[in-house]
Amino acid sequence: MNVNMKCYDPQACILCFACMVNCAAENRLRLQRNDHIPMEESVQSTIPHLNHLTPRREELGTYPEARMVTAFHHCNHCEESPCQSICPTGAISTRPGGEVVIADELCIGCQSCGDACPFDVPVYSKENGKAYKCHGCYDRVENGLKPSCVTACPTEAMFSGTADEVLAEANRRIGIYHQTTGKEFVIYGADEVNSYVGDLRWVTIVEKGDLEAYQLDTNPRRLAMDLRDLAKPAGGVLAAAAVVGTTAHFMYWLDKRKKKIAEGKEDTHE
Amino acid sequence: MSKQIEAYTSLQMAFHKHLIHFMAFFTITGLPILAPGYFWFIAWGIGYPINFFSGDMQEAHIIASGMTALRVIHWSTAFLFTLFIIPFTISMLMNIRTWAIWPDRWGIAAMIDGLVQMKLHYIDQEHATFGKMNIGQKASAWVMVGCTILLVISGYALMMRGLIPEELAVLARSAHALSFILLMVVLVFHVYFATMPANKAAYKAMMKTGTLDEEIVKEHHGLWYEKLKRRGIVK
Repeated sequence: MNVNMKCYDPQACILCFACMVNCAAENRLRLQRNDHIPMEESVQSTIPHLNHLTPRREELGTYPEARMVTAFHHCNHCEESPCQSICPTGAISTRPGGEVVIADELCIGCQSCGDACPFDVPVYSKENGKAYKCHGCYDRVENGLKPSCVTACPTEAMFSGTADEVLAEANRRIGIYHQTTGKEFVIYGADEVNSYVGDLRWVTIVEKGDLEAYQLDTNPRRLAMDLRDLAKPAGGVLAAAAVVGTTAHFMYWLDKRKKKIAEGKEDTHE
Repeated sequence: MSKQIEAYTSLQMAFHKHLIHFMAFFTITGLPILAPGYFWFIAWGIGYPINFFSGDMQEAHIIASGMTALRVIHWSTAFLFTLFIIPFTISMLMNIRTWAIWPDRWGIAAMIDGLVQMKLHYIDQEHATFGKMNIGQKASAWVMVGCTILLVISGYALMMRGLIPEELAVLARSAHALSFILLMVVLVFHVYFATMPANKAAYKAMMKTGTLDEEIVKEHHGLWYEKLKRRGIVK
């Protein structure tokens, strides 16, 4: 299946943050559309859980080699989506286009998704006790529109389409960047990052040596969740083995006791 | 009729009885959150009557309602359990030196002998020398105590996760699941050995009378009997 994909290219980004603003505005419009909340009301409060795209600016290095790096923090719409696997109510699902979506009416606010996400993405709203994250504007995409962040971007630093289209464009850009700078660039998330998240539907073009600077984890996982996932089947097997073992012991014990009684030996075990 | 020896106090018996109820509630309400793929039907069973009255009979909504109700029951049970466990813990800590789950003898040789005695009793059906509890009972009791402490701490950490760092909350979630799984496995053995005919007298003591016949103590719990003699409880 050729899923939808989004790509962020920091080389083309002018840091206008129009993507972020449009994302926030679009989510407030959704409040108007879905929950019939008047626009005036939806823009009065900050509603931080509806900001699905947040910049994380950081100064790296020391003067005179210091530089500012702006990493974007957002849902990567993982292929394996650990948040979806752990959700006890099935509130998190993957759309046919690959967008991982939380259905807020099914969310019970257990925050399991936040614990399972190695990118620390789902945000828990204390206001209404539900978890929120980027839904990839699946409603727009499924109706032939681009995601709101992509629509807002004036420099095509953010672009989207089918995985084939996006990867073709990303590879074309990588070729140009390599030719211009002589440096190696990669598309983070295009290939399987690791078995915990699989590949990503939100990829990033980044210089190979800058993965860490852009907070792109090369081995995103939650060891505690791995252990938990391992313990669940192991616990089932051990509990079953314990039941089988104790049953077998009981049958053996009963048989031996009968024999002892038949032999007339004193039964002293009651 | 020979003398009756107190094996369990009335507080211990009451605690044990109600612990069974608490464990049943914790297990039934916790399993659907731990493994929804297998135990979703519990949430469905609870959510169905709730949504029947609200009129929202979509399958996913029924499960979501059920999960919410189960979480509330889980938390309420935890609160009652905490109230219940405090007096028991205080009473037990006051007598920590006389706990039956301390080893009667220390060292590797004693441990090996403990296992040999268990084999004699449970496999060979021969006379064995035990304290009030055998080595298997003591080991499982320590695991149960450890798991319970871990479950209480991690459970409260998850309930009040807004007050702790995110990394700790993730650890607490795993610790809660892992200690529950380990406890469940040990409980299978605990329930089996507690209810098998070989331990009928001990079962009766814990669930009904609180006492054991002196002759039984003398014959099956030799090390304990010696202790009782030293304390002047038996002659």
